[in-house]
Amino acid sequence: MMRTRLVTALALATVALCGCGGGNNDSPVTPLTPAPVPGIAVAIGSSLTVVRGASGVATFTVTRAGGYTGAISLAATGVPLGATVTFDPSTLTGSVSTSNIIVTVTSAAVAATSPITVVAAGTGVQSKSAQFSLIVTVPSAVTLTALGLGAVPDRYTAEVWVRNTTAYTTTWGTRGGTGRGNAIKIWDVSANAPALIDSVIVANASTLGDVQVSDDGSLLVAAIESNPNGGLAVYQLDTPRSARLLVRTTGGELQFGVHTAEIARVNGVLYAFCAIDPANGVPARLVIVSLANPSQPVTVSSLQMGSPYIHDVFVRDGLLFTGEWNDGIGIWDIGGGGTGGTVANPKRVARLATIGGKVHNVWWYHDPVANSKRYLFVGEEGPGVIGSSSIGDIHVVDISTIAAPAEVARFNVAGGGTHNFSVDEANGFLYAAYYNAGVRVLDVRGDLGSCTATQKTTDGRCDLTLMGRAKATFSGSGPVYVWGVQWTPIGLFASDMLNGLWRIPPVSR
Amino acid sequence: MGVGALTHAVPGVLGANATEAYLTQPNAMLRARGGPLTVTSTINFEGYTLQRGELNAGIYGEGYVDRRHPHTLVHEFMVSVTSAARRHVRASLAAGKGFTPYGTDDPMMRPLVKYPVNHHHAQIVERVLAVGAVAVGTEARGLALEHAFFNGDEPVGPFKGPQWSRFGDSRSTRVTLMPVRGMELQASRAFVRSPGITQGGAFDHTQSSASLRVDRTGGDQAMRGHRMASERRYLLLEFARTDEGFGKDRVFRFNSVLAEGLVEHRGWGLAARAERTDRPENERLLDPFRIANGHIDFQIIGITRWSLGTLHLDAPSRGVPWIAKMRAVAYVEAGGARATALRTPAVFVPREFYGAGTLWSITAGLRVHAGTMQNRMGRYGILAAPFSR
Repeated sequence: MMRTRLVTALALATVALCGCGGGNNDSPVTPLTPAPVPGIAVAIGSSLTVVRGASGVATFTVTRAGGYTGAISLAATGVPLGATVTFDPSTLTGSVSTSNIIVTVTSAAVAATSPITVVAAGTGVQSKSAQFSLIVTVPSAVTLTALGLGAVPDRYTAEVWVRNTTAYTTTWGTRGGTGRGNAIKIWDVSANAPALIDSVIVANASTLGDVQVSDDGSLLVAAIESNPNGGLAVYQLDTPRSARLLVRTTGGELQFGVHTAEIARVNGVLYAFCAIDPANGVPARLVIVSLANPSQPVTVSSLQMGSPYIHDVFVRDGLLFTGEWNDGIGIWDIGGGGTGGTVANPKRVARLATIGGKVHNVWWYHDPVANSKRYLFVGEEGPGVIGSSSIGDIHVVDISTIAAPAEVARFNVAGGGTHNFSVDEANGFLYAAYYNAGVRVLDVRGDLGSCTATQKTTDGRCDLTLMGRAKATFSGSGPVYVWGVQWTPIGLFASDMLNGLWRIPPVSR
Repeated sequence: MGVGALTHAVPGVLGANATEAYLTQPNAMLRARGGPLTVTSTINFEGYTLQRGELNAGIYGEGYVDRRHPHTLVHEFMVSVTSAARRHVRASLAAGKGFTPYGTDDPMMRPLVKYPVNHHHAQIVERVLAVGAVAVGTEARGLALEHAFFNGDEPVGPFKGPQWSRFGDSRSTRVTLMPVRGMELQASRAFVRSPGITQGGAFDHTQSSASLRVDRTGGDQAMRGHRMASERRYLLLEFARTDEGFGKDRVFRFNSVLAEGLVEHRGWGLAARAERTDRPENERLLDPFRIANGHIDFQIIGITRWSLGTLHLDAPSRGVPWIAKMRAVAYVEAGGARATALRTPAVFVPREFYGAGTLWSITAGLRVHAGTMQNRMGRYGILAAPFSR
């Protein structure tokens, strides 16, 4: 401190002497200069953005002063959980003045902004520090580009079912005055662009919904939703692309309109689980029809349910899951629940009103990697204008205790609403038809019910978007309105009401 | 009363022209009064004569579209009790099945034969209801307030009864001001729980209506045809709105504005109506004039704005030969309607569905009635008179 004062005083004296001399400098005066002070200065950019699961690099610069030539070591403090910071090099020697700060963020890190302080220290000099903001973001979904389109310009396309290299799509409503929803279209999907092979016309129908091939490939079943002409159309598949009508039902409870028909085998018998529309003052109901003799379907059970609709069901391992709209989801024992329920006499095991209601569909996910059967994916079908708008979330329900299901997570797309699902269970990807928002792909492997506070919605559920679970998006090249989606080992297919049948590349890990 | 009608529509739907004949609006009407009690009844036979519905561009409701649906057999049966006037204040209670105190007059009692598209925006009919009303004023000038509780479910067929258990789940309030004789200002609001699905759970409707009605008759005020005779001048300006949603959360909004008028001179009547009304579109059934009675989910397939103009000409009323006290009025009515999609892309494209940008229709026939006609319908107790003119 004393030295500094002395130098300063001498310097002032020098300036004064020079001023007195004016232009008459007969005796030049050599000015006194202060001795240099060894030290360092540091600099770094203000922020670094890193996508979760990735790394980012920033440059840290050190400026030596006062003739300092010693080594400078670097260290970081304030690094958040899930992130690591390394320096390359970690010690600056000789003339080296910059170091790369490598920030690696795991996929479990929280999407947040954290201040990180980098400290530079050298022997004999005062340590200096600089701060930057680490911004951790969730990865944005990959955009999928269609491999091909089987165009259907004459009718509106509804559901899709794919078996091996043959696809079946149904049609819906009235298009252009003459294009009625009474056709089942059969496609060759062995190439990228689906090729139309045949159209099967269902008599006295104006709207078809679900279409499905039985597990043994012998039957094709379509739901007919045209009150009072509702029913089932059952076809024998002599070959996968040759459908021969066995029966088109009329009358009975199915006449009010079969909104969906899930085909499933229980204890060796094939059944159609038919969701019936409320109509003419008659409430909605689930009608279970035996297809043991597919030419003569027989109703084995009829249950009034749904407020005001029942829309879709899912059958697996002797359990029946029902989408009961504002009543939420229902879980029924039809032979595998241990409560004595049967197909003819289902026993309700549980019911859960999911947030927002409007439950359309359910998928019970079996995760072979985690050996878990913990989650139901539930589709909420909110109000919209078909063709242009939709709304509704995917809800994740934990059924670890099957009698006490609990909603734990959700997935929301602004301006879009979900419809039907298909899950690639081996790889852990949920494909969701999202009407005007196309197709969304979610990574559903692992724990979906645990997340940080910043990854939760205001009502306490985990938000799959904030958890980085959104993997991919398909939006088409123009307006789309995707009704259904099906993943198969040969590819991913989406039925689009406006355009037809898309083939899309599935995602992989 | 009843109306014979022959309608030619160019096109009807799907690009096809249609010519059809009907006996429409066949009603037997009764109004009996005894002391403070009044019974008002209208039995409507459209369930027998109009099962397929009546061609009527843009109209919709109760499972019909582009055809007007038949009304229920018991269109109204209301019993009302009215208090005596005290310092120009009167009150009444009415109960039964009929019109809720909401909106404007039933189109059946108005000058044109074809219904406006806004029937379900501007009237709420055929409900089981209880109405309380209080009015202050005279026959020339006054103010009335009505409030009602009723069942929200719409009829599901001409011979089907209401959901009695739903009585009281819906309500409406109407304020009517008559500043001078023959002029009436009306504002009303209604909340209708799940009209589309009888068990409940479908969209709720919050409805609003405001109107100005002027009805001035010179000379003889006896009834002829459906209306006051001689030198009548009638004008109705109306705004109506229906918000569909869940409780107070709105999902869809449908607006309507309408103006109609009538000039009568020496028995000839010339009426006109201009209307612009938004309509929800729903998936058509196998019969392209039918939709599901109530939604099958919360999605619609489009919103269409209907712009319509209609002209109507009545000939002077004539007695019907050999039938005493029966009179007939020959009429002809022509209209044009344009439909425009308000949401695109949508899966209901009006021009494609109808096969034309403008839908034309012409209707001719006879209105026939016997006995004393009411000049308005759907007002009970103190609103039946003097606010009935």
